Amino acid sequence: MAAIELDGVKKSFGDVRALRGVDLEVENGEIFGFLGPNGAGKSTTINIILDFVRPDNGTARVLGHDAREESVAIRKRTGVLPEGFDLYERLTAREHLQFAIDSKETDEDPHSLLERVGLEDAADRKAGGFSTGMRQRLALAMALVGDPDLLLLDEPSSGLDPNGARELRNIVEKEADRGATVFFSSHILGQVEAVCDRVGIIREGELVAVDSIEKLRENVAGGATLVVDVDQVPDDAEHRLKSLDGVSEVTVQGTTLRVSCEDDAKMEVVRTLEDAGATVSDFSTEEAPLEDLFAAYTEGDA
Amino acid sequence: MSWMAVAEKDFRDAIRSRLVLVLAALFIVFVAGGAGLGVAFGVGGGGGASLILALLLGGAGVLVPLIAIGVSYRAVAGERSTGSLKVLLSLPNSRADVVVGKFLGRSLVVSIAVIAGFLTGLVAFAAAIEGDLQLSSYLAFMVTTLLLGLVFVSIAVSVSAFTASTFRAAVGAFGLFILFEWLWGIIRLLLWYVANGFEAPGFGDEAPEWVDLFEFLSPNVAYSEATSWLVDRLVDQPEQQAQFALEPYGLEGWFGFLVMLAWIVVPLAVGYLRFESADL
Repeated sequence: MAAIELDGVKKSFGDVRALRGVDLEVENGEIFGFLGPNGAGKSTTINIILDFVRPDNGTARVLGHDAREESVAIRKRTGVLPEGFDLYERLTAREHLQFAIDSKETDEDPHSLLERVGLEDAADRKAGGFSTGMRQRLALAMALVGDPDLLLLDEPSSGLDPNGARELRNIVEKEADRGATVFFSSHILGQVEAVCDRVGIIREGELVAVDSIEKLRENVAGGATLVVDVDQVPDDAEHRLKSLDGVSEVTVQGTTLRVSCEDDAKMEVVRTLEDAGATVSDFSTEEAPLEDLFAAYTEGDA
Repeated sequence: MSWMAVAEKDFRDAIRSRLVLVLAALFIVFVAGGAGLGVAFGVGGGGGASLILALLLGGAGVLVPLIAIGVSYRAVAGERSTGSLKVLLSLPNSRADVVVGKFLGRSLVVSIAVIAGFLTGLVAFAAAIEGDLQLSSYLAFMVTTLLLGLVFVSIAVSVSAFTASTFRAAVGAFGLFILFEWLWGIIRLLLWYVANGFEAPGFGDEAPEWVDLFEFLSPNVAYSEATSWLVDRLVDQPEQQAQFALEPYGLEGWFGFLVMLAWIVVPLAVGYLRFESADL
């Protein structure tokens, strides 16, 4: 049984088609990164999973329950860190956790949860005076109540400093080790790369790719950059290289050439440079930066 | 019992609101002031106390609904507009839990304000007025006033569940209060005028029974009818029996309790149905 199953989910808001038929399966126990630029449909997808919003078409099943009919049963076993949420400014951190514990009908100790997110010193302070990072930590602690089978984190790194982001990653990995499924959304690929088993990329309401990051890299043409050091750059090198099949871009810096090309074209690039009279002293391959990979899926006509 | 968790959270949150404290203080000042004024104008003894009670009844009929609305209009819409509703509904609380929990939490706040006001009044009466205040009728007055408070908590929570804008929630709830308190009588006259063949009824004419029934359906009218009826049952003073009590189809003041109960249940149900079907 998959942790999350979306089947042909469509949703429009007025004229805006937020989701245009999304099919998605998130396996039990995996860490799944849900990527897309702002406005691509990430929040709508999560809102449908939580029954905040009802799909026009299609079905959503979460932890084996229908998202529409059995939402409370789903949320009993799910921990959520929502995006754009607010806390109760007149309630203390401890009262927030007590509320989550009462709602989930468990009997955990608020203090130990606060310790896990590093808020133990602020237990009796009102959330109204919290920084964005502290609010994020408190909401995360509330999400961890009841050892959920599914953690749903919507843009969890926003408002966290690098230290907080690292702690978040540790917590996510611990939860996954315990057996929880983790589903988290981000508009920045770099944040999910380190922890995710698989990622799904959504764009204009459609899922354009679901795979591991390595596989996504392989699938993107021009995925690698060849870096070649030469003794001197021949005058027409740039022009010659660009005319080769499989080469998309050439930049020259001093005696270093950076050539974006397909794997098959690499040897041809080196041969062409030598034919033009250059001596190649060194060459290596750089993986495409994640931003380029992300852009390849979310821009242009991928 | 997730609605209990919501109610408890909501009560803790609302009771710390400055607005709520101000409104509660307002009511205490009103009741104590009423007693004080009575003394200042030299009203003493049993009959005087009844007079003060009658004046308080009129004042409470306006003030308590306003306090209930002030305490409750943000209940759902406020959480929706700030985003804390996302936290509330990420936890295993159903939307019914939210509406019921909100109603209970805010009702408790309003009830505390009303009871505190009445206790203050009791002390003020005891200190200032000679002769005995009929404790039983005073308590009866308090009970119906509490009920009126719950009616307007229910109405305000319901309106609040209809919208994500606290401004609209406030306008809607206050608008309904104005309808019941002031426009209802005008509508009643219009109905009578229409029933009378588009002619103004003459002085001393009796309204058709269904027009009286309509009048009785306003929660504010129901409140004063129910209170007079209950107080009359408790006070053994025949000359004080209400002369102008509404009795459409033989329905006496007790019918006011049913009307108020309906005004608690129906708005909650309507608000829930609307909230349940909304995309948040």
